[in-house]
Amino acid sequence: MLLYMGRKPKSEEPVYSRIEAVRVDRGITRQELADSVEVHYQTIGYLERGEYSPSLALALRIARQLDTPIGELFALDPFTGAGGNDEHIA
Amino acid sequence: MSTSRKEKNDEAVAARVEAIMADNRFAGLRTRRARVALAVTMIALIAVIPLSWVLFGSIPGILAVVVGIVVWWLLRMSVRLIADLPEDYLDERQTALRNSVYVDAYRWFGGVVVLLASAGLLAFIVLGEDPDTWRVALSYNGVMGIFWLLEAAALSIPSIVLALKDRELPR
Repeated sequence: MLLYMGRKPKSEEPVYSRIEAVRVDRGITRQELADSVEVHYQTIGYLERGEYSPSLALALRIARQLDTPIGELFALDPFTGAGGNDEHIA
Repeated sequence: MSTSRKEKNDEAVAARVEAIMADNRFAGLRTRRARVALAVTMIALIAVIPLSWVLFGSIPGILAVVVGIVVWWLLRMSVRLIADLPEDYLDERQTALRNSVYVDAYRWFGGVVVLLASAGLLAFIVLGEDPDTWRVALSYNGVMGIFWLLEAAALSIPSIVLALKDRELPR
């Protein structure tokens, strides 16, 4: 077994998100959400596909913008209902 | 530069960056295949440009440089200038990506320089009849070849690494 100097590689730290489901439910476009939280629209795409893990500040801004508790948008375990991405964040 | 002139310049840069970040004119360059093709072409040109100067002379050398500038520009557009922009113009994902890219780019460029320096030293030792008195003679085209090799590598490697690393980006 490989040792990682006490730190797990990022690929073993999955974070799941439901941004896309909640955003679509709120009727907000990817561009609108990106503008409101001051990131590029592609970054929202990365977040929705689970290919990027946001900073705490960005996660809080997204949660506020979507009027959703942060725990309902991001989780360390897969969301059981529909709407969560299957991909983990690398 | 006066404050007002600096502000105007900053506003112009911000507007230009905004336009590049939002534009979809180069969507065809931002596919995975196009980015890899551009990166591979640029890597080839890093070798072709100095060889053109050394083997074929000034005119082919200048033509190779012009082609290199065009490919470099297309490569930068394909990655939306993320490798070149100041942090103020990037969001947190882009900044993290750029920082990661520069670590790899430094290693690549360092590798190129170390390889060239080692080859030069080896050639000097092997070919020099008397290391204490042997002088290296460089032609104009030879100097231009070395200059453009280092110039092309230093300027393009960050965007090359970014194009290869971030090739999963959606259009």
